[in-house]
Amino acid sequence: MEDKTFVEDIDRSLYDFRNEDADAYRLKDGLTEEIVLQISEEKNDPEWMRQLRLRSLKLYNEIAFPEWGPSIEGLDIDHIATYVRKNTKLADNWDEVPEEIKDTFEKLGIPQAERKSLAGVGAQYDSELVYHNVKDDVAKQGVVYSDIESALHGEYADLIKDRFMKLIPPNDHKFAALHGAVWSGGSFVYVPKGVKVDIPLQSYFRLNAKGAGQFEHTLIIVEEGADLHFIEGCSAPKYNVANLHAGCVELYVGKGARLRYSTIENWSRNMYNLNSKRAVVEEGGRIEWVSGSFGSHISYLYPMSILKGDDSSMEFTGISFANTDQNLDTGAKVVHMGRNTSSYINTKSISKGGGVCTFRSAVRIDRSAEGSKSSVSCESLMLDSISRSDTIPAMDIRTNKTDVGHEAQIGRISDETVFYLMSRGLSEEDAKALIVSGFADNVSKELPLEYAIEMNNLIRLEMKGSIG
Amino acid sequence: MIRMNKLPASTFNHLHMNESVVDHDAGEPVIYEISEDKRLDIDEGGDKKVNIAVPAGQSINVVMSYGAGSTQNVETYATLGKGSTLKLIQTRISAGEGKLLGRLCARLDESSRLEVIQIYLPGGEIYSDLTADLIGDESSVDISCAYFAGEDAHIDMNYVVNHTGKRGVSNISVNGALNENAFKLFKGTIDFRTGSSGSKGDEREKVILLDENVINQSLPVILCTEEDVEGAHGAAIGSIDEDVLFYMQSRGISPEDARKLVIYGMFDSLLAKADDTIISEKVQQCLQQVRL
Repeated sequence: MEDKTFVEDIDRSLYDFRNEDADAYRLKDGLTEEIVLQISEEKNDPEWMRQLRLRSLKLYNEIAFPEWGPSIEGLDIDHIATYVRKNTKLADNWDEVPEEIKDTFEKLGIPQAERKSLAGVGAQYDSELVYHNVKDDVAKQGVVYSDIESALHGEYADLIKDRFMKLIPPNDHKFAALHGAVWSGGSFVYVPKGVKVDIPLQSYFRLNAKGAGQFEHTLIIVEEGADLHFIEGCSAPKYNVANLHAGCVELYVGKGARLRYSTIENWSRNMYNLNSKRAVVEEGGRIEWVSGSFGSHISYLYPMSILKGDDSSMEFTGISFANTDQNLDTGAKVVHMGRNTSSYINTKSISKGGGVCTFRSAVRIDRSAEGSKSSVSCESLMLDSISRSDTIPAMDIRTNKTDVGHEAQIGRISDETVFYLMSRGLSEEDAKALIVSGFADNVSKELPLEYAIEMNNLIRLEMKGSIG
Repeated sequence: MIRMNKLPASTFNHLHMNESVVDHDAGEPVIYEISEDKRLDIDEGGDKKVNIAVPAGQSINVVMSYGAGSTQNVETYATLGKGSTLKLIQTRISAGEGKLLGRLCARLDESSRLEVIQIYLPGGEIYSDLTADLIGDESSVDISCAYFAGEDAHIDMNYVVNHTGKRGVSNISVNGALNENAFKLFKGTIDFRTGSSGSKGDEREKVILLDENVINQSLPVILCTEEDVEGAHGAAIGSIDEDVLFYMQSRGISPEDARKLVIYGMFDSLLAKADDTIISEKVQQCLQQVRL
């Protein structure tokens, strides 16, 4: 093995800047009934929601921590503030957003992206949304894109009551229960029957407060024949104490509808990202997940698709890049229930500098899912021998009228390819960055251009220091 | 109770694939010591311990044939000296319903080679737990398994290869067919540990599903903490290709015989590797009696 030349990572100040939260309203650290009721009071919850929070708290205290996956010993809920709110109100105009917060989102490019390429934007800062807006022509089509708290008291209150934490019930796992108890913020999207939203909606989540948790809830309903692309982005400055993200995403994809859900996750490396995402897809519907995981100290993330209707389909395209102090346990789950359903999971992972990437999946094909097909493909790239890369794909097949395939590969960048690129004038570092970008190409080409560029920038950022 | 078939890296609890708990109270085992070619017929139930020591530079063949009586709990420990070769054939070819708890732990020294051939058909309850530690540089292991499971058969396999030495090679190949109410779980792990540079591992599984009541579970795992390795796994699970059946029928072969031919094909290459007339005849006889 050749010696490695180490070059320091470049400055991550693009994401690492932080604001003082002196004027923020912050509940005391920990998780008690008193805190849960305070959050409920703060949000003016309807009674059913208050009861759901209390039931979830009870479940949180009963359910054990997962016995598999990366260690979460460093996470102490007694030292996490579950609710932090800046002293500002939700605005629908960037001019009304306090300067400091506006500056944060401008540095992250959100208002610029809204002007150029988005149909609507939601921006969450710590526990609450600070900005929410949807373009007039999209709103005129009947598309609803609002904060979830407002929607709980509006025209869609009954619909939300019917769907909220029904796909991911609080008893699903310990952090779903935690979410049920202390959730705050997030978005409600409703796309009426037959409406196709041509350009994406985006939510951006920024966790600024030290030692805090973010527990936003995203509920999207795409009715029959409708079409939506929803993008979420997330980042946080780095602190020397643990931060926690335990959001929840519930997606309802109607008959013949299509929903693309894209995520570029770039949490700071003190973040425990214990997020839950689940979609149910009706007859002929389609869910497409595009997922880039670059940040976090620890991640547990396995978006799940329930292909309930006949001829429904899912596609999951994901990439993970784990560097020093990162253990990213990601993947996907799919349950085939309807006939002639199909799923395609395609992931890439890159491990470097002692980082750990685990691809974990579960494909289940029920007896009712005759004629279904599933294909899982995962590729892992190891950039050094102090890192780790694992693939743990499970398949549970309960009908004979099916076709299931799985392929996985693990390896390193070939010396010949690096040599070839260097002979064409590239530096070794640029050659490796180019190879890794090519390796990640299947994900970046699934993203809108601006996000593909951001992802490639993140890869270049992560590749600094990997000269070998 | 015996806990076995433990997955080296646990996964989602709700899948119930992390380990198996088998109802058996182990007693004092009967011990066999083997260091040369041996054919071991284990027909009666009970606890057995088989120690195989292959001296440096030597090659031996061991055939272990299990009967299908009451519960058989057989632990096999194989130690392969430098430059040695062990070909180990383990079969359970019987229509009986007994339970087999088979465990194999192998430790390979430098440049040694282990070839394991396992054949299971057509029924009963089988737990097969295999761990091969490739300690020495340039050691290699080749694990091949073929099975046919019908009626209420339950086959639970867990193969683990740990690459520690440099330039080790591992191949795992599992082919089988499930019929009627059969259940099969296959877990295969290739673990490239730090220092195993230059190693290669490959894992392949093919499953043919013949009945709507079968359950197939597969979990092919690669764990890796070494950069300079090549690992791959693949699985193909489904019913018999209709085009193949149609072709055979167009050549005058009945649908049942066509299915038998496809299934026999899964055993064929393994029987050629085993190169054992007794086993070949038993497999052919057993497959002839299978209802499809």
